[in-house]
Amino acid sequence: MDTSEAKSIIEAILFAADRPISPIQFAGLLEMDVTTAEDILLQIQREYDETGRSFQVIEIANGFQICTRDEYASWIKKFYTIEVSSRLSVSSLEALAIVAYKQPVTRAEIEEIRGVNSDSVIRTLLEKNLIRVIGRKEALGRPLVYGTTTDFLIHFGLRDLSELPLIEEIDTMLGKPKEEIGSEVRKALS
Amino acid sequence: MYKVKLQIFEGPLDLLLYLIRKNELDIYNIPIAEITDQYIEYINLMQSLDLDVAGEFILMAATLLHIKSETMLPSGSVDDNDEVMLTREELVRQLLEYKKFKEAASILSYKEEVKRNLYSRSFTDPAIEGFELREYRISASLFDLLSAFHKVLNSISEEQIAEFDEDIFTVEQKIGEILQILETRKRIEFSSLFKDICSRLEIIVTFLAILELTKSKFIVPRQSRLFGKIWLYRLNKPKAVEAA
Repeated sequence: MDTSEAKSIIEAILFAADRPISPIQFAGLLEMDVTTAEDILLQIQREYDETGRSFQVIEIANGFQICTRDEYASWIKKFYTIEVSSRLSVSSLEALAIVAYKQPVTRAEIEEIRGVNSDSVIRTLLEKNLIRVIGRKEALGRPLVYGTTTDFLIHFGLRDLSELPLIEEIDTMLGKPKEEIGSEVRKALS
Repeated sequence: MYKVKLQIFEGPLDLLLYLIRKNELDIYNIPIAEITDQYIEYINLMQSLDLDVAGEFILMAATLLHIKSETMLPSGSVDDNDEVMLTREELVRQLLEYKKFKEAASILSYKEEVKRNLYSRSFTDPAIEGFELREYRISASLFDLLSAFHKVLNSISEEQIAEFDEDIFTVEQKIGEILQILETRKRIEFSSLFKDICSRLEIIVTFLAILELTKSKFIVPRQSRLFGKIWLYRLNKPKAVEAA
């Protein structure tokens, strides 16, 4: 199989897929090196960028996926009358941030940081499949420990967890008064 | 009477951070008396508006009063053995820790907003989804699992088996590994989970993990015909375990 044929096959699968597909999966299907598969994916990505297509190939959740470009979002929303309410609540985001950075983490540890009962928010996150049980802690009562899922990466458009800024760097990275950020978030989510 | 459940603050720490910001205070050097008064004022306000004030808010008010009393009395006159209450240092440490994650949450919120404007295909042709399920619709019983397990045990040659004295494999670990595999794929063949395993203990632990996952409805074992190959399918909503 030559490269151009492999490229067409990969493109066809990307086009039909409803989830990110990793270079490893393509390599397995087409019996090629993972790096070759990755090169082809990046090539397709570049082509879409250079020819100004209204869709793009993004790297997300350790894989690649075709999606539209953000400048067409308003038209897509208008056509499909997409509901606006699909954002997560502040408490969900807080709990998720703790799980993302501290996983594996127990409910008690989440509650200690937030200073409030987090039962229902954890249940919501489990139902949305943004976090999952990844085992039990070897401590009194052997409590369940939680971690983030692939759906978490997809929801936030992250390639992998390393794409999150280091928790120590957050202060300097934001570089603006905390009040502004707090109220922005509150405003955005109210 | 109908009670408004309006959540203004995520919790007592959130309210404290708000007061600190509002008064442009230094988090390391909080004037406890002042902040305590303001905090209690807010709690009263929330209560008079008939908002649901959670117990954590009240506990924090008590903590603040406790710290305040400590600062006002000569040292040693307040019982320091009281372990329920936070000390001032502990409170500051907690506030800083919470603040970090609050900011991390705002970064997530930003990323969520960006991602929300990118649309991708959200369903696969039902023909693709349904194919496997039609074929593998017979659910495997505990006995099917046991006999498959028996086969795995027998298929391992003696020299392949290395015994370890220490308890290095745990069921929890295996559960984690299997769930990890099933995150990216919908199903996995039963015997493939035992591939590359060379200790009897690990085989047993793996099998126990499969049983546990089946019991808690994380996975469901299926086969295409009786005594056929067993495939473990991931169930989409793994929420049953939380309640257990």
